[in-house]
Amino acid sequence: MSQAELVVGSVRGFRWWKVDREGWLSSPWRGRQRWLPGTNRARCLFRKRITKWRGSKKPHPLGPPERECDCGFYALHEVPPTRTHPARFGWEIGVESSGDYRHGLVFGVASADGRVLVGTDGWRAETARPLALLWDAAIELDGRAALTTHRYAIPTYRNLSALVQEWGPDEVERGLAEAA
Amino acid sequence: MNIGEIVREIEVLPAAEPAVPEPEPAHEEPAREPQPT
Repeated sequence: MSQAELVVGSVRGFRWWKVDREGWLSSPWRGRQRWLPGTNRARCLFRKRITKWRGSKKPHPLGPPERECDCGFYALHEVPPTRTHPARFGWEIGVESSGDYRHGLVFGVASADGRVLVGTDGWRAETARPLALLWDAAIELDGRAALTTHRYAIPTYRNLSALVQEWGPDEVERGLAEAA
Repeated sequence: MNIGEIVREIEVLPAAEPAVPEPEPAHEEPAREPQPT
């Protein structure tokens, strides 16, 4: 049985998506699950077998996200720092490069619904939707940006501060990260 | 991505749509007889 606390509204967070030539967004690091406009439901994609991602063998009595697994849609409470050290994580490439065709990633804000595991730095959720995207002012807008805006009907920002101010998690949402 | 140490589990319920009040009936001005000018 779930011991989840009830929260009314939504929980927002920052994340990256892979954007393809047709403007579709997908999860960049596990399984390339395509995000559709509106609500998306997570699948467990724990391990890769040859070419296909498969679910974990650990029990998931409530489905993703499972505490003992890594599944669910991810997002962070804060904009990730830019690190240049070789040991940086993939999501620390620097949001000023959001929309750059060379890595094909776009930064933005997602909201979570349903069951959510809240961590000190971010969350993993059962369902999520894209809310807003950043196409940095230093990056030339191309056809992908227009297609993404058309497909998802979500705003595209050229300035990080405006994105954070208008769509970033508020104080109450960030407060969920404090120990219960 | 790394979400750090899990500190809580929540169930996010959508906020109810705010009730939209019924519009008040428009007060019609009574028709007036044209006044001679």
